[in-house]
Amino acid sequence: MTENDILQQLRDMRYPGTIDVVAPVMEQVRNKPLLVPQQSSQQRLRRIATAVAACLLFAIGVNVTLLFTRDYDEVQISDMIADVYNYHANYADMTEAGFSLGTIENLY
Amino acid sequence: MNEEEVIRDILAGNVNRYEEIVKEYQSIVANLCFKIGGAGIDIPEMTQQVFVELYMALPRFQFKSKLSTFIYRLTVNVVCKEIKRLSRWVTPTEDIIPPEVPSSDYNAEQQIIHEEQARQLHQALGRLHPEQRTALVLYTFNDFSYNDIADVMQCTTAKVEALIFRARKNLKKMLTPTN
Repeated sequence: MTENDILQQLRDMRYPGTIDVVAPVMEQVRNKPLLVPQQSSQQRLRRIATAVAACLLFAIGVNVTLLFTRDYDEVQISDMIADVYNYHANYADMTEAGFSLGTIENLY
Repeated sequence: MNEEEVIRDILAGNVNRYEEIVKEYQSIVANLCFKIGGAGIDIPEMTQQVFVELYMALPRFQFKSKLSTFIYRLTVNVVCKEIKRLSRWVTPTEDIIPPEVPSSDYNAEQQIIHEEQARQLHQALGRLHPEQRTALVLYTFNDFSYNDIADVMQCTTAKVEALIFRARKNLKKMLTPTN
């Protein structure tokens, strides 16, 4: 069977029985009142309040994230200070070892 | 049938007009249920369920898409839910009716071969992943475009393309006799 045959057979495939569900469906739906959504002013107000609350929560979230980011920066800064101290220590060691200032600057 | 007018009428309380929608789409829904769900599910029961759910969902219909797309989407959801519930696919052996062909074109032997092919195809279809099967069935159903299928299956067109490609490949592999 070629691929086209397969697709054609799929197209031709039919439900073998006869179908008539009008009566049972109508019987069921007649007993089910439809709930057509109608937005009252109170519901609209509630929706707006929810939206405002969501915005506030988002703003608080952003602030908390920024706070953590700032903490992270501080950690980075303290690392940099430690590096500077380390640099000075090495600087002193190297001068003592007889390297000229120019050479040390170039090395760094 | 002016579908929008009928739906607005139903929503206004004229429930009897729902008959028009059921009559118009019942065979299409039954066929779709049969192709996606197989003969293992109760097709009339499933079709009935689709129309009851459609009725309940009518207030949510926004008239942005075609009613047919809305019905197909609902049918796919209802059938997939049923397949998951049953967690099985029962392959029919006798109740597949092969497409009607003029008797002059087909002799008895050819008819048997044709029926056997239809049975094998249905069996192979049942072994496909439900998503691949749904995409392929919709692809061959009313010549849906990839966009229509993506709309019904609520996924991207790229995913539909991939699903159909894989489904065709797998079906071909399953239906090609190995030496």
